[in-house]
Amino acid sequence: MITISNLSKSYKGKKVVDNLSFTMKEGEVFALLGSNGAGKSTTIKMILDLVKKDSGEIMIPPNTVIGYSPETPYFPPFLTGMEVLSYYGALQKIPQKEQRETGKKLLTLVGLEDDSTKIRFYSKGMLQRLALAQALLGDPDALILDEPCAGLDAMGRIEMLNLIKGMKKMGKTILMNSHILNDMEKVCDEGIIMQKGKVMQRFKKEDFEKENSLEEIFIKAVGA
Amino acid sequence: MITIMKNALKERIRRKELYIVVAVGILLILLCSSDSTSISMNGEPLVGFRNMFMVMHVLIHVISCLLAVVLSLRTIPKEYERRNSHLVWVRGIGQAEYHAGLAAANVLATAFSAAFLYMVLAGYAVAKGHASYVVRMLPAYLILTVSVSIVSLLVSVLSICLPSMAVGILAVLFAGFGVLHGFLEIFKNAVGGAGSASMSFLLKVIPDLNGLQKQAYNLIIGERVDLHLVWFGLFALWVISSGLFIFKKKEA
Repeated sequence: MITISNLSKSYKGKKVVDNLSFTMKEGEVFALLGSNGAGKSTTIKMILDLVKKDSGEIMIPPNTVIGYSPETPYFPPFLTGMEVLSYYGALQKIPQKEQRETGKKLLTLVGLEDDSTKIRFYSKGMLQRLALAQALLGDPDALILDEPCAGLDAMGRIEMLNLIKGMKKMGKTILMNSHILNDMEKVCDEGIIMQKGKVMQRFKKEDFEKENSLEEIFIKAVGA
Repeated sequence: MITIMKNALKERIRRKELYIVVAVGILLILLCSSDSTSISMNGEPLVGFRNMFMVMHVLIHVISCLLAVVLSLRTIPKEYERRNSHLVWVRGIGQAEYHAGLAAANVLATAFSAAFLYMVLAGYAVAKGHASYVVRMLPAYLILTVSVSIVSLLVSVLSICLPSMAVGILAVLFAGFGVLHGFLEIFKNAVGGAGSASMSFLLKVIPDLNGLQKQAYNLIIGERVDLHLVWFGLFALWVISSGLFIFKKKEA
């Protein structure tokens, strides 16, 4: 569905993404793994056109809608979850009548039914779930989730992973970036392990289902 | 753009500095309006409604310009610090539209604050038996708004490409030169050489904010209004607003 080929990016002469290539298949969860500074977030930002690539190709089929959930979501604390969704819905030019209906549906989907709570009373897990809800506005074909489990407690992570599994069942193509290997193991179909901007290893679900855990594959790949 | 502006405006309304500065402004105006206040100019005490009204009008203008700086300084940088911009840009909204929405919210917040202060002034005029002033204060307010909008918009534009500290210093200098335009015109002749030349240049480049304030005052008291200054102010607004489309953040 989304194909990346020979993608490169440098900051002040230092290569942060180096000749990266991969393909995300429709309806699958693709994992970008790597330590801090491996180039995962830069790759995501280049796909979203938030950062300009130096070279390479990002091929996205025309009319593909992509939803994005950032690593550290910030929403105005004086708004409610519903107001946040209405705001981003309006930016997406979703008709006003639909905004409330869609908002309610999405809040229920991510388990934030009480739409009168102000954001300032949200926990980190609730914020991440709201971030996922805003990414789902406009019924995107693909979702890009930047560290969706970052900073979440055990329960929060379980809830988030269940939600991601739910999105997959809905047929969404998901690109997920994380350094929590256990989480990735539970949801991803295939992925790459990055280090210093380069692909160190490609893997499929079968690889860690048969004999190795994803952790072993990771350690072998990065040579730790 | 309207959605971004509305949301940013909501946030401005919730920021405490707006209320603090407006409250201080109202307090100052009320102090001036007190019968026991003695303000003097060139050793001569300013007495009478007309003089006090003029002083209060100048004060409102200065406070509004300060408010423009305070309310506009951190709006755009804050959005970038929070990475709010990402969620806007992935929805196909360009930087220019995004910045324009935020800058418009700054201008409106400043204009609303100035309107509050103007209402206090209107109350003072009515209390002193000059209710006829109130009707003329509405168009006068629009002229004054041109002046404070120039400051607000300039701060917004500069905050796209400069650090907040530098923007703050430049904005205070700009507002200072603009508010003291008339006085500096006289002062520049007393300074010779490069000082005079650079002051002349700055006075040419920086719009005469005090002139705009004077036109608003003239309109209220029924004297002749120099529309040329108002047109120049609007032209300055247009020129500054083009910065919203020229200056861009490099990357998110």
